[in-house]
Amino acid sequence: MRRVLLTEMRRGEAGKVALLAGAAGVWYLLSADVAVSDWIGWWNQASIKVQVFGVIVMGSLMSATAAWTAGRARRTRVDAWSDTAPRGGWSQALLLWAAAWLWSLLVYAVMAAVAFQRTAAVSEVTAPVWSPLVLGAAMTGLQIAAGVCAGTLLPSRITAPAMGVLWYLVFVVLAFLPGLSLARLFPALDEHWDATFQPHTARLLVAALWCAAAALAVLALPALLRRPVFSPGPLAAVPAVLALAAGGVLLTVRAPVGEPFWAVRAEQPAAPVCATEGRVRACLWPDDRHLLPQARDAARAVDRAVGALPGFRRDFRQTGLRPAGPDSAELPVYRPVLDSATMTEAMLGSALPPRPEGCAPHMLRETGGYPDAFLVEAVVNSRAKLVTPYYGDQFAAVLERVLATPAADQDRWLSAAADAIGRCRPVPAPPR
Amino acid sequence: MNPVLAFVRSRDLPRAAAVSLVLALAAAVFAGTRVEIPDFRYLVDYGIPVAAVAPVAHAIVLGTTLHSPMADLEHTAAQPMALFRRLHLLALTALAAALSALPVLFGLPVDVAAASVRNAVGYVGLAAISARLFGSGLAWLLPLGTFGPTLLLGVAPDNTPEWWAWSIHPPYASGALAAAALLWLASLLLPPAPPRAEDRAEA
Repeated sequence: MRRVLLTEMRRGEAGKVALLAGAAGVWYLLSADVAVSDWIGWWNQASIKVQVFGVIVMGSLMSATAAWTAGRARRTRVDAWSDTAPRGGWSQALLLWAAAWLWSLLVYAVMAAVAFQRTAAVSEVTAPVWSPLVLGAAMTGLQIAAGVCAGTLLPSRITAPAMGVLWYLVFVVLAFLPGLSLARLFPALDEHWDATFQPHTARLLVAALWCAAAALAVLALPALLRRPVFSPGPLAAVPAVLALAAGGVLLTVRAPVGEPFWAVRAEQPAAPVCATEGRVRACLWPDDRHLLPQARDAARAVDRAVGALPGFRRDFRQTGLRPAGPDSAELPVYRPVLDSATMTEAMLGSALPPRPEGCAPHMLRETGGYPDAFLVEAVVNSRAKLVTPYYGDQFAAVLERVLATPAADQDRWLSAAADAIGRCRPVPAPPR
Repeated sequence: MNPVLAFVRSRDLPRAAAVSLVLALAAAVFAGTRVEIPDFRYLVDYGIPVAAVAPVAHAIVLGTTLHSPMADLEHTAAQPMALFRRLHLLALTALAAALSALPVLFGLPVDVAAASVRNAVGYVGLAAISARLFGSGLAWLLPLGTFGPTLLLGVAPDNTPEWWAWSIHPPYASGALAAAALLWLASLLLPPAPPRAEDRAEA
């Protein structure tokens, strides 16, 4: 059996196509720019990226290829022989499926290795996330099984590309129907899991079980429907029952409102990693400790800009971390790699106290009718030597004037302005 | 029988043309709609007109006619088939381009039609290259294989198409025009090869 499988792996087209898809995947993973990437440095995200590429691009192509390979006996008019071979139809379908799936697994493993290697080069923790990868591998198996089934039952030249197009369509349509339960049966996870989340391993493994069982059940279909081949025995009912059970669980389980289905909130760390500079403290998730040098630089810059001013917040906690008190500010980190300037900007953006709920912004006529908080932010950013957005000549003239006033006047005005914003009052007139 | 007619029949061109016509009519019905790029890279608004996507389907369907049921005979024919092969490619390209432009009659803007024709030329070229590299049965492989990554990864974080995703570039983008032309010319100039084992087995 092993020899037949190896021969089929050499004989079939799956190897060529898997290598083609793998070359595209490896290029995609290697060409990503660390500075702007949303996955290099986060193990969750690295796993998601490989899985989504594996399912949508490689899985669709491999499904089409499997359909093509499955139609070979009919195309070459040897189906009469293969149908009467001393092997059942299910076993023949399994062989074609295994040959294609093993190729795709090989390429998938290479892509995972590349993605993890890139992440390991950035992250200071080693915590590869496997469950989305397992689901992706199982889903690829289901796609290939569907291809084998379609290619055997409909051995037309157009079946193969039609299968590829069909999978693309399924994923594109499901991407626009995020609330649809049925989408869980065709998982191509494209979610943003930063340090706040961790995979819901149980659901991912149930979904992987569904995919694997459904793949085996789908492979039995041609043998059940085509008269000439030896039909599978009652054993074929086992994967069907398993698929029904796992699929039923996926369709009936509900995630709490507002929470993702495939992930759960990560538990609060016992001790977040913090950088303290002067009066400013910035705390991060332990997995993001590679950002500590940038956090330290940013904290230093924030301390210089507003550290001494009452009214501004000086304790920053990365999104998802429990606040230390009412004066803690959320520090959003959207990418695994941030430079000091971006982190400084994020901290200064959170340093101003938030407006009370329902408080409409007050417009400052002097600046050309922009919200008064814009001027406060622009002054603060300029003090931290950050680029401020251009809101027009009138705004720029007022900003220039405020920055030209003595530091003590600026400090007084900024403190009063921060206090006013927090109390939903108009900020005092800018100093002259 | 007229040799051209015999060639057309042997490649099942009428059936493929009929399927493509149905696809073109469907594209015409949805001429005003756009295929929104899914939120794969956390983008908010990037859409491609249906008419600019339809050429992929035309290339895949018309690409099925690249298979010859008598490849061995053609390879050893007294009359070289290179001219027929090139005429065949020209005819497929003209057909795909005409069908891609068909939605203009139903109100499709001319610039979208231009992008559609450009994509038709490029994808037909890609299908011919795929047939030459992987066997005529797998003519669909490269058009389909490039279309998936284009949908998934073809838009940069700043909401502009990646340089390599030529088929979703604006209609008159010179790089995209050059890519389509290059693919088509490459398919036209690729030297013929003896029939592959798979093609022979199907004869």
